[in-house]
Amino acid sequence: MNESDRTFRNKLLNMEKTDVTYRQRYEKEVRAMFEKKLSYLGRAGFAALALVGLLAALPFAELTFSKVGSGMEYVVRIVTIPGLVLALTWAVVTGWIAARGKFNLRTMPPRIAGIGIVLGFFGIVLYLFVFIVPVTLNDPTDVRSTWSGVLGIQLSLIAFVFLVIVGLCVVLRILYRTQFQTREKLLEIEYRIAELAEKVESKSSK
Amino acid sequence: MTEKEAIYYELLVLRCRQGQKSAFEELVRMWEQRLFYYIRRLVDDEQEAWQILQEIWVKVLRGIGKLREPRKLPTWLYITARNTAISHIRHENARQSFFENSKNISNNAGRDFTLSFDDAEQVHYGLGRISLPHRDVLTLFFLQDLSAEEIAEVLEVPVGTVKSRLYYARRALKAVLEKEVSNYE
Repeated sequence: MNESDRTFRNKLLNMEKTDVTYRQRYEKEVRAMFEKKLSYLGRAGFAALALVGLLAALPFAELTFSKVGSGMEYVVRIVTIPGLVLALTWAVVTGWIAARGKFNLRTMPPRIAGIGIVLGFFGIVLYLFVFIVPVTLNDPTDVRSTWSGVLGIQLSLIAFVFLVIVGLCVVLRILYRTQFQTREKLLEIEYRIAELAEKVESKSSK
Repeated sequence: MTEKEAIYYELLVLRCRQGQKSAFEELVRMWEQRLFYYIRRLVDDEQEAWQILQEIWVKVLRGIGKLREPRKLPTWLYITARNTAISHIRHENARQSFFENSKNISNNAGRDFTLSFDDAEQVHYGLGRISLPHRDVLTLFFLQDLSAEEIAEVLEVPVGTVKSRLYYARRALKAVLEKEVSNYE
């Protein structure tokens, strides 16, 4: 499209006179498109989720800041510190949504799901390390240790599944992100080349 | 469409697919005036036109991830705009007459469709006074985002039909403007 065509189009577009009230209403609606306004029930739901996050943070916090004993402090803290951070992140994110009463439909669901899955994984691992393993190790003849052992194996399997899911999600996300960045860079280069070609063409035509 | 524009559209679609809010805002900012102008030529009520435009953005937001050819973004946007507007018109039982009118003017392919209107104010005035099918094709032509082939894609008719419609639409527009001039004189 040449410059005079563009000017004509712009003139034509500027001929359209619009009502300010309708326009403002439209702009408001378009802005709201990215965000879902939550009902009172929805807000209460998110507030409850924030509370769950805070409750989940308690055992992680307690074990992080207390002396664990039996020489497993470092192993346990590997689990409790990220667990605490994730639980608090969960509480902050869901609490923030509840307080705002708005929910970003494009960005929030995958983030919340991601935090939830990872938090679940750390919860299971914590349960395994703190409650199951010590009982099994302390007294192998105790009948509880057999049950604990079975439960421990089950939880280990669940934790493993969680780990695989998280790992897969991370790998896919990295692959997708890399592919996107590569394509974006290529297009940016192509765009600059096309821009230069246009400039050269217009100079040579003059 | 130049190569530069095509690349730019692909880049914009790619960023929108990534969920970049700024990219979507850019898309809206870039196209809302043009799409609104087009919708407004199809729909009489301004409030309804804004509502349609909003619906279009919802559809774009949902559908941009499935867009197979990102470089055909303008065509896709106009198709989405037209379909949304038509479904509104249909809702008001006006679609029947819309297509009846288009049948009457669609069988003269191969005519010259070069237009020489250069007064935007006159064209804008005239567009409001010709029939809906004429207005439809002529608005797409004057907005200058699409080639004849792409207009054909938007209108779901062969390219020859687009050319013949443009020929008759131009004649109708000329007649309206000439009548207006003679009335003025």
